[in-house]
Amino acid sequence: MSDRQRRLVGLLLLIIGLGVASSQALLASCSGSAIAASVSTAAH
Amino acid sequence: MKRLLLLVIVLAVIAALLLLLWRRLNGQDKAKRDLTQADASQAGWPLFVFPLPAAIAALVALIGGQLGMLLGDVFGYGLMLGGALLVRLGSGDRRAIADWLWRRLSPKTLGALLLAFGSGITAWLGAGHHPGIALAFGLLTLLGVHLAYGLDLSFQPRLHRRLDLGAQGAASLREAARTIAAIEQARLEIRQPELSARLAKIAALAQQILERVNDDPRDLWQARKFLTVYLEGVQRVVEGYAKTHGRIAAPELEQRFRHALETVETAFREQHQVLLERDVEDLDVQIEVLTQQLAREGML
Repeated sequence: MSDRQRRLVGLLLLIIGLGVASSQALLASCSGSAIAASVSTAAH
Repeated sequence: MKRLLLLVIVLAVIAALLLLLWRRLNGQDKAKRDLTQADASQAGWPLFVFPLPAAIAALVALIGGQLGMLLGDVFGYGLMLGGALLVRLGSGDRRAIADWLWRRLSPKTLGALLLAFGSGITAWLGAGHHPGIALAFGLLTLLGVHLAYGLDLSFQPRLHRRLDLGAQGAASLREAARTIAAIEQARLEIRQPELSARLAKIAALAQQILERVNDDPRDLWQARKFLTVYLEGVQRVVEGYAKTHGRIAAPELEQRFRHALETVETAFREQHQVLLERDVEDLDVQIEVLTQQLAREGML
């Protein structure tokens, strides 16, 4: 594996490790907020 | 629907970043910049950009009043940010700042561990994954940093150097520092400017030798006689002279003291020179290793 390929694979793994974990945390936060908002609306 | 839209936005951002990264890597290959510049310029930005959604997630969790997620996101993002800063510190030419860390653990390695831990925490507490999955995220991050930035895994020399000094060596250095301070103190009591100046030079040389040993404990063996015999001998003689020379005039004693100081100064200078030459030899070996590494990777 050349140096360039190694770096690219590393960055792809970083996208999964950092980017996906963070994005999923963002999605979870948004979902949680949306659910909380709908529950609140339904209660009213 | 909102969730799908958000996913599309996130994927679009990732795709844009990948495109940018690809262009950047190609540009670097064409330009053939030198290794340090390439490493320093590359190190950083993806590690700062990829965790950004966690910061936004923390903000959303804060607005939504979700305490658990907020803590997970903030803690995870904080770790990832700290890790990114350390990796950047270890990649650039900032050895002076990171010097204290280099002797213990490479900043890059420590940064990678923080990034992995932050990623795992974010996946576990922020995204709500099973701890096993969170561990997998952490390991992927660690592997990613290793492949993209090259972790410094040569713990052996650092460990070796630390073990070399040991408790006894550290005690010797502390004792030597006290001896130098005592010599300085005794010097102030000697009213002859010429002798006082010579003693100041000797104390400065002794301090330099001590610093060299502290920087590289392998020098401890080389300087052991200096630390245990000469330095204490000088202290005894200087303190004795400082006490007696004010009370009686003894030109012969003064002459012998002057001669002794000249000999000590020469000996200390030679000792310092030996340690410096040893450093030069070490540097020579490091240059050779670097040259071979560059040649192996087709850079030369």
